Amino acid sequence: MKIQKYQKDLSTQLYHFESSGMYCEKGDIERAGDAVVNSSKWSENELAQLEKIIELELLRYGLATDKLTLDQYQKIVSEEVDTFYQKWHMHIFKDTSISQTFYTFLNKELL
Amino acid sequence: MFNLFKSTLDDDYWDKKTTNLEYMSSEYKKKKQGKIIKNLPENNEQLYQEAKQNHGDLSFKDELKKLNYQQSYIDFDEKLLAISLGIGFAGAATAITIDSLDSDKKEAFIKKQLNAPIQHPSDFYMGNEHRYMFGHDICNIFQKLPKGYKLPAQMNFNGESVGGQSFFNLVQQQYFSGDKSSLAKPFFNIFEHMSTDIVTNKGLPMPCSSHFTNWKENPLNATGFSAENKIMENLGQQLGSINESDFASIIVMKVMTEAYLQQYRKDKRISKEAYKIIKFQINTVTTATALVVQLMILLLFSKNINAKQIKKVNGGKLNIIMLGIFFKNSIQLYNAINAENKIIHQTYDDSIKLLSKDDITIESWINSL
Repeated sequence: MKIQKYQKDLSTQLYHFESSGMYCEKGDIERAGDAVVNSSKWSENELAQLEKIIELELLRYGLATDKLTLDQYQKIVSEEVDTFYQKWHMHIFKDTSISQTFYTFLNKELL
Repeated sequence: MFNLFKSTLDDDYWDKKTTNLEYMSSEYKKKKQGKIIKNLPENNEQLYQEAKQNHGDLSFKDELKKLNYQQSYIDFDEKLLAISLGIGFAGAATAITIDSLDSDKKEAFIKKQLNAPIQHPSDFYMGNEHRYMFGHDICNIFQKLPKGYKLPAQMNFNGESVGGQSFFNLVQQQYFSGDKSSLAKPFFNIFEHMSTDIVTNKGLPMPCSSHFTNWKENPLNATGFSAENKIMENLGQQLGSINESDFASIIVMKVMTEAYLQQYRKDKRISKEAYKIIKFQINTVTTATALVVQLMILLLFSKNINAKQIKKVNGGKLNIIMLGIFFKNSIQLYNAINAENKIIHQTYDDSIKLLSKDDITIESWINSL
């Protein structure tokens, strides 16, 4: 499956996993993640959410670079979302302060 | 087209008319007493010149005052304009103050809400600008998630997928499942949740805008869908959202206007109809002033962070609710003036009939009005 790399000029919206059909570069995702960790003191469940968001963003990067098929990608995303909910009783992409901070930093990286 | 703020009475015309009428009535009295009077000129201007020589120039307004006549139509004068502008500025200042007030406390409060243990159905869509897409429109609480929308199995109710269900239904199932006692409870829950969102900078979307949310199947997303809303995308936060500062400025302006009007009514002893017109005139000017001031702040002081984001400036936005109030008042004002004009025209017709009588005096004419 051919996926386009996110470019601000190609999209009318800021990037977010749940509203975009594009992908981000590995380096941008990792830099945004590091910036979030260093920006504040986060709780255990907040860091767990951040870790999973980064994992799924990197998974999408893997799909875009042909490291896995769409079926494999969808299966992993679904399993990760379910497993995370069982442990933390929330959706990975729930709008929390840490997820907001991550996407703010990621969109800064994408500029 | 009539003027919504200024009476179109021609002072010069009415002063001349009063002078002529007073002269004619005094001449008529002389005739009644058996005195011989010369024929009065038929030309109005000549009659006025003659009347002025004999009785001096009279003022229509002064005559009305002498006769203690209360005008039903009141001009929207400079004082009323200044007060209305002042109230409008106070409304805009309130919005600026509320926007800048206690941002730390507001932020802490919001974070607490965001980290609440149970994910509220209004947050079941989790993409960019999620509030502008689903579950936050006060005029669309029956908005549905698209069929096939995927959430973790445990977030479904009784094994039934959330896809295809309305926001109201989801709230009812999540918080009041099995409780058929009151349909009002989900409404209160939604109201409570929205009232916590309204204190944030993002606020709530423009009422009814979520009818334009477009869901697109997206195999890459966890939920299987992404959403966009062109209306909110184009209007943005500054032109398309409502938040607490909008309500605060409206309340402050309402209180100030009512307080002033109570005093005004007491001082002027005006009729119910005139009071209504003054009230609509003041409300139209106050809301227009506040709207323009806030839009000017947005226009002059906000800067683009990038192509998609504008740096927020306190008070710089379009107050959509105020815009609605402005239009409502403008229509009410138009209708009230229209009704008043019809009455005035009828009075004119009656007056003209009276004026054509020989024995009419200014006093009896005024008293007949």
